[in-house]
Amino acid sequence: MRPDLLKRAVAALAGAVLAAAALPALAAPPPDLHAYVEALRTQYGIPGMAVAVVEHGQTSFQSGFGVRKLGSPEPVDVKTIFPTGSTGKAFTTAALATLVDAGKLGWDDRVVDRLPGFQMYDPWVTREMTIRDLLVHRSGLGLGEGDLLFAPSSDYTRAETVRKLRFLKPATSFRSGYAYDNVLYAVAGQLIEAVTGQTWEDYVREHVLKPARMNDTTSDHAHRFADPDRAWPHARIDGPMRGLGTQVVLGERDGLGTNVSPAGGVSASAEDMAQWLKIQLAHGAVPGGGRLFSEASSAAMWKPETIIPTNPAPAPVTAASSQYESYALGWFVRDYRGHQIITHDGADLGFRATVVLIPEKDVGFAILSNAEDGVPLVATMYHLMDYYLGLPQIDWAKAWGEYKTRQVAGAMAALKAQTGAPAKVGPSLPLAAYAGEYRDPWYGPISIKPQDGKLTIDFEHSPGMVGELAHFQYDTFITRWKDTGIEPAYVTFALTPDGKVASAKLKPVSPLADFSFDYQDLALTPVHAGGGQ
Amino acid sequence: MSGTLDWSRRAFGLAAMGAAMAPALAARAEAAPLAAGLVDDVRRRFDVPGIAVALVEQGRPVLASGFGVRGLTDPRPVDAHTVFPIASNTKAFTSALLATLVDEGKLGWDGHVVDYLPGFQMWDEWVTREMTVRDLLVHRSGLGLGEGDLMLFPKTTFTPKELVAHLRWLKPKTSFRSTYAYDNVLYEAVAVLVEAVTGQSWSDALRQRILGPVGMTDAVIGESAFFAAPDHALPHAKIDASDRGAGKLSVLTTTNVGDVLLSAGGLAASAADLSRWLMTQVNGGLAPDGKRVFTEAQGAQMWKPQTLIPPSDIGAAGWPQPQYRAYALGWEVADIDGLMMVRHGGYVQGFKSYTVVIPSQKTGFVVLTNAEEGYGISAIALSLLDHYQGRPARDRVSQLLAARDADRAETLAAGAGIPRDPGARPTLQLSAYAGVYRDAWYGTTTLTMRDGGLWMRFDRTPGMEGPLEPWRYDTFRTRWKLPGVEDAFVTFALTPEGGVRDMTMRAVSPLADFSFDYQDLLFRPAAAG
Repeated sequence: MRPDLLKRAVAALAGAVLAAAALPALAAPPPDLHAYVEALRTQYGIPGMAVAVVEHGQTSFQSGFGVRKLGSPEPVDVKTIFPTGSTGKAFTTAALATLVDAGKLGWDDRVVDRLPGFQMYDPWVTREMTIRDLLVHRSGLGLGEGDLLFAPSSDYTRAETVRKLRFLKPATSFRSGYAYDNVLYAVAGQLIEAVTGQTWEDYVREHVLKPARMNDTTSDHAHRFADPDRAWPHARIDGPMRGLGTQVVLGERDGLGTNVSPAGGVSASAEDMAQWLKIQLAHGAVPGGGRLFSEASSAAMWKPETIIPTNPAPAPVTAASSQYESYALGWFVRDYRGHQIITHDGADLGFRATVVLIPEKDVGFAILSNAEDGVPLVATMYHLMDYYLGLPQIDWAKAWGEYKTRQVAGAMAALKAQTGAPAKVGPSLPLAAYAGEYRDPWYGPISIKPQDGKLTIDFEHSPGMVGELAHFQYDTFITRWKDTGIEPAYVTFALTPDGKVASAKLKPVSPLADFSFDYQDLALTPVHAGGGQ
Repeated sequence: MSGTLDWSRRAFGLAAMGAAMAPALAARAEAAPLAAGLVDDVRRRFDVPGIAVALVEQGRPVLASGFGVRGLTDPRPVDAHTVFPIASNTKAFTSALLATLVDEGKLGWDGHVVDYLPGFQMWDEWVTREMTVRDLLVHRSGLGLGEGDLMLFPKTTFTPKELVAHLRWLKPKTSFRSTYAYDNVLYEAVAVLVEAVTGQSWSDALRQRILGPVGMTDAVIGESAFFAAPDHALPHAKIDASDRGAGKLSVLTTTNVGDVLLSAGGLAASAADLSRWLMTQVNGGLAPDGKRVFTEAQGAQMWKPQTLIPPSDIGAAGWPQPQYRAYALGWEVADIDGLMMVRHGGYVQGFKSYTVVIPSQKTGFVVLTNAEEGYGISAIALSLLDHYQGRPARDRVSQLLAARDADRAETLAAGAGIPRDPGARPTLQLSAYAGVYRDAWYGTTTLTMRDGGLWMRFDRTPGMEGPLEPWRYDTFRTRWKLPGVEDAFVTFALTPEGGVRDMTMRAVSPLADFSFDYQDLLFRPAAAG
């Protein structure tokens, strides 16, 4: 699809770190930026990274670092595409903005009027929910509620995923608080399809990426996997919990499900992210002419909608505290030491990304990586913010490194306290008595089967979520997924007075598990009374 | 008088000069940073008879003092103990009162109102069920700006319980919790909730739980008590021209607050009182004499942003546009140049006031005035903030005078008046418009014939009666007898048979305060019999 030879040529230039030196007329990024990122990358064992910086409408720095895939020599260049996780939410809101600009919908239109059949758990919420509500994490759904529908990937279609919303019980009263969700962005994607007749993938490609002239970037997996210049996912999954252990290559088709791609399914290169930053900072104007969305839509997308409660950040990263934080349309709006920034971070299995805009300085930057270790991204982010805001420099690499060390130590202690010395009690019933077909109202069928004297559990719509159930204590078991990249969960059975399985509840084992593993939102009940065979 | 601050104006003047000469940072901790003569300059150029200022720095009292006179007809000086109505600054007292109940476990901010206040009902039954104590305080209920305020202002014969019973007839303007729109009626509902929970009236509970422990010995509740206070300021406004704020300043006879519906804006206090209140606030609930009024946790709760205020909302008069602005519990949170502050304004007829707290500096101030010049207050507030934020001093008085005149001209231009048709002839005979009309939430209005013309009376509002002057078509204009009450257009719609179907209203002046929510009324002829 893309002119790969041209990419190579540009990559060769990028290899020479074009950056400030190559473009002397531009404002200067920190002179040590390349060395700073590279030192963090090697210290944290990240296979590959890419960074783009835009100042006053010009790319002042762009560079790849390291390799696309561990064990392979191909370098990351400025045209290497990385999945960008939830930073992709802003592409979905930009797509909606093009429709708002065309008069085809309004941010405050009711979803039911635009997407017939849309239904939330509560009929009043169904009636009142607006397109804006879909985008700002105030629906009453809990943090990451329903994410197991796509993380890890399932065979549910986007339409099926949207249909399941009616079974997701709200955690809080509608619009009473902030809780980050992904599934409502799938609704936004379906709504785009209902309004335009094009899938989210096609609409974003034709009406966002193409007019933005982001030629490397793609909204669908087929294009991503067809691009030889792409980064592979990496993570540490052989330690006591995800994030610890050896960096390994993950299966690149074991990532997040495309059913929720509107919440974060864009793969982009550093060069394209620079273009995206330019368009954002120019309030919709595309460099070289044309307009992706109107000034009014730009303002709407950056206007705070939902308050995010803030707490002072702990030592040693206290200076990272914000006085206010809020969610706008696909963006976080907050302050850093008194200056407003528009930002989003993204996580996919095996990837991390960060996008930061500093409108008062007309500066933006994006950081992409093909691993899950967050310190190099967050340290670079704060390092660059200090630099461009003219603030006293803090050694963020050190501070975030220490923070991470403490966080892991705390999680290890918690994990040890939880799992260190299980009571040698249980299970109450013979293993076979736990087996059977179970159902969760929103996830659907989950089966537990006896196999070779052991129990296996199978989330039937999620290919990777099958594995042994190992007894832990009492009537609680721990999953041992075949796909070791999936967070393990406790499975706790509750019994009826006459000794049959009444229900089962789940919970992630790791205190650091990503919130998208929302095991706690599941409530399994046996399909046949008694739960036995 | 004992135990309160009473800087003389002379001492203040000296301190101010010291501050003006010292570098900003050095001055910050110690000296009162008001440039000498600033307050008197504001009084003179904005035409404000009297001003009182309370100022607390780093948790310590720095200034509580008066400037000018109590009124055009009372030349006695304003001093630290002169009481002024603080109007909507009362809301922070109402939320602090709730905080003491939360501290005692008697209610929760996220408890459902219906659980504490049986019979509480909003228009929408889902909203009735879901509305929390917090929702009552943060202007996101779906009610429009000032909706239902005519049950409160100008003073009416409504009781708090009656007002709560009428909430169910106020039709929401926006979807629940989707939009910020400032209201007063839900703060009045809090009074009934407090009584249901404590068995005490809001006033008694406020005295016992807040005013007493804080040591606010001058403070009084309600309009009659205010005018009976030995040392009180008089209300002033410019109301002799067609639009409020032009013309000549005069003394008014009422604040229109009344003595019954007070939890949204019925408190009056002195600079000395408010100095103690500021100390209590910046010290996390600890009163000046060491009594704990509310816990630090509740202090933090009350300043925690709850409802975002959009940039399109008119902010504090003449203040720079903040990066971030939100409503907390009886307070607004907003930044100037990235420094977060907590603030609130107050306005009742004849009095405007403003409170600002900078939590990170444990510093705050209150400016009380006996006129309606918000921009004048901002000249003082922004001068103080220039100091506390280390900006070079500038001529805020001239800047805000210009801003006032520009904003006023813009508002008047945008809301160009509707001229009277000199040959106006209503469709029906005048007597055909007479009768009793009923609005679902307000109640009845009676139109009678008097001296050959129509005479309108809002039956629950003693101040609102007067002749109706034919204006054009089937629209009339009120000429209320009580000075200061904003006039309205009254428009009749007819049935095919030539009877009156309904009567709707809207304020004449684009500058009318939002509490004159005439546009929310829909009067229909009351059933005959």
